[in-house]
Amino acid sequence: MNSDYKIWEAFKDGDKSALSSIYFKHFHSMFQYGIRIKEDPDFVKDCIHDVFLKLIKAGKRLNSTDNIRFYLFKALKNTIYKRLEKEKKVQLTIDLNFKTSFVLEEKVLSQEKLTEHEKALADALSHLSSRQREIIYLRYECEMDYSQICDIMKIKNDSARKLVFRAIKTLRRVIKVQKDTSLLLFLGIF
Amino acid sequence: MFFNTLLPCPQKDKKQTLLLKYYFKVEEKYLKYSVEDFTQDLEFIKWVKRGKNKYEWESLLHDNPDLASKIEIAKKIVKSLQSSDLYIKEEEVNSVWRKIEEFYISQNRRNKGLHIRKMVLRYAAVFIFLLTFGSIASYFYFKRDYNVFPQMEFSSSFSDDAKLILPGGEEILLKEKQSDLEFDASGKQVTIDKDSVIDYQVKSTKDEMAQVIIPYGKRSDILLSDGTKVWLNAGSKLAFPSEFTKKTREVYLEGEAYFEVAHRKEQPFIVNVNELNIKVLGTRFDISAYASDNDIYTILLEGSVSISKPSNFGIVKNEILLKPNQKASFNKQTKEVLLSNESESDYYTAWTEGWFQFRQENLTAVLIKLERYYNVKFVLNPAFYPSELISGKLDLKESLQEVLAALSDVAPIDFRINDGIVNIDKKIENIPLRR
Repeated sequence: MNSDYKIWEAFKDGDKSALSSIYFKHFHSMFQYGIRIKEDPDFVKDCIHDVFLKLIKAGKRLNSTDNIRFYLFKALKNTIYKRLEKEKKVQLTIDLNFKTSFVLEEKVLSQEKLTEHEKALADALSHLSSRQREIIYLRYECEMDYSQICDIMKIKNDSARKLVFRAIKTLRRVIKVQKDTSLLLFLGIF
Repeated sequence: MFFNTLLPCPQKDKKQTLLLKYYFKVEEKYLKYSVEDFTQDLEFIKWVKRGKNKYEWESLLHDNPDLASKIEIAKKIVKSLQSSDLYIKEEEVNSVWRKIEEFYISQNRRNKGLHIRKMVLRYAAVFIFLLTFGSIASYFYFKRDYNVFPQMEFSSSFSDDAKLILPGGEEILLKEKQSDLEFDASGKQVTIDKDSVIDYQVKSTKDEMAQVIIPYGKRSDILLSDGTKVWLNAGSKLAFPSEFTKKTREVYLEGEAYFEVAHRKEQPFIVNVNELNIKVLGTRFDISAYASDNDIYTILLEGSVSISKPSNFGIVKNEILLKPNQKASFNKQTKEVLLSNESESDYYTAWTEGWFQFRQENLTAVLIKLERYYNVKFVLNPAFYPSELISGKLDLKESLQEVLAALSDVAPIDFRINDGIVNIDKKIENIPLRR
């Protein structure tokens, strides 16, 4: 059942419980996404606040949607960029770095014990570009469709797929190499 | 040039296979998946991350042990891609909420005042408008049928799954590649894939529509409550009332569908596509109205249909009557309708039987149709302009690989399938080998 569509329509009509359910359901994922664009919790919180004020103001004039999170992500990204442009009084021509750290990378930083295998993966992950990180975040963490990802990142479908594909290939290679060496070791013993 | 993939006609054993595969259809596509394909599949990701459809995946693995090593690697990759989140205190979430709530309350108070002022202005404007244009409006009103086409807003966009949205909003995912829906005449029951029966109720008095949304790569056969049969092609949406209680039977279409309308003289059947409205009385016809196409086609096989398009003012200008074996092409830019005779109108409906038939068509047009059917993207080498016209018949129950192989027998093309993208290039013929 597409509850998103209905809740959104109710929200447009000014229903307060719809507003609060949207807010509490999506604050966390908006915050996690925002903090990866601009590493400043207070700034991101302000931007989320602004997004909701804008939505309330627009009310009935808002478009319909059956995917509220996608709608909010887009609005948040726009808001963050606009606000930064205003602060710096320049137009941001290039994308901001998308900073997300993978669990494995964190483990390396906190000097947790990792297997050789995990170390190699963490190393491969550390070489991913900012765009690759954003797309991986949207796809693997947020489980978005490619069409939505392309819309948010303003890229074409085939380049989105290419970005993911290249990242996967790098990781795959690491896993493969790892496998081969362990096999060699194994043979070496006998 | 004429070719045919040499395959027996479809057997009617659909029912049996349906009984065997219930709930989750282990999609055949997974059997051909590479490690990279798995890592990018949303269903796979959901399974690895939070165990969605666990049993179905485990049984897929159990039945196909050769997939195990691929899945193992793919799982490792997906797991390694998990990000770590930044912690935020509950209190901070609440404090932002309180500010938003405050704004909401103040805004609502202001809106009421504004609303009344706006209403007064609006009435004044309407009054002036009526005085000034009343005579002109009445002239049009008495001269012609007045009709503004209703627009339908589909409540859902395409996703990976085909779905049925019942009046009332309940969504049902259609797992089969080719789903089958039968709406009971009572308007209270729908049978899916001939085996699961779902009861529903139309609660509101507003007549709410049922919607069927079919993404690229899938299809659906629908029996409406009045006995009308609809074959809905890939990448299409259809909305219709679960029970036809109004003076006219109105449905809304985006994409392509073939209709066999049940005859009811007193209650005409109307198909609304974005810019046209197609009125019929018991008949067989095909409509193709994809948002990405320049033209909307209507091909009549039997009976009679009339096509009307609104003028700029929403007043019906032309009503064009189609005869059997005629095709009307409405160009979205010029807003003109072209009529042509089609001696073999069956070509246009072959897709309902799982065939794709074409005659003297440009390769690009053929590829566009295959793109929709298989949900892939063709990328043509820009230096390659296919000029040959080709004719033939393809069996769409075959895999894309096989269909393209058949196509490359008659068209001078080479193809390479890579992750939902198919690169097409000119065939390099007989390079003499040096010795």
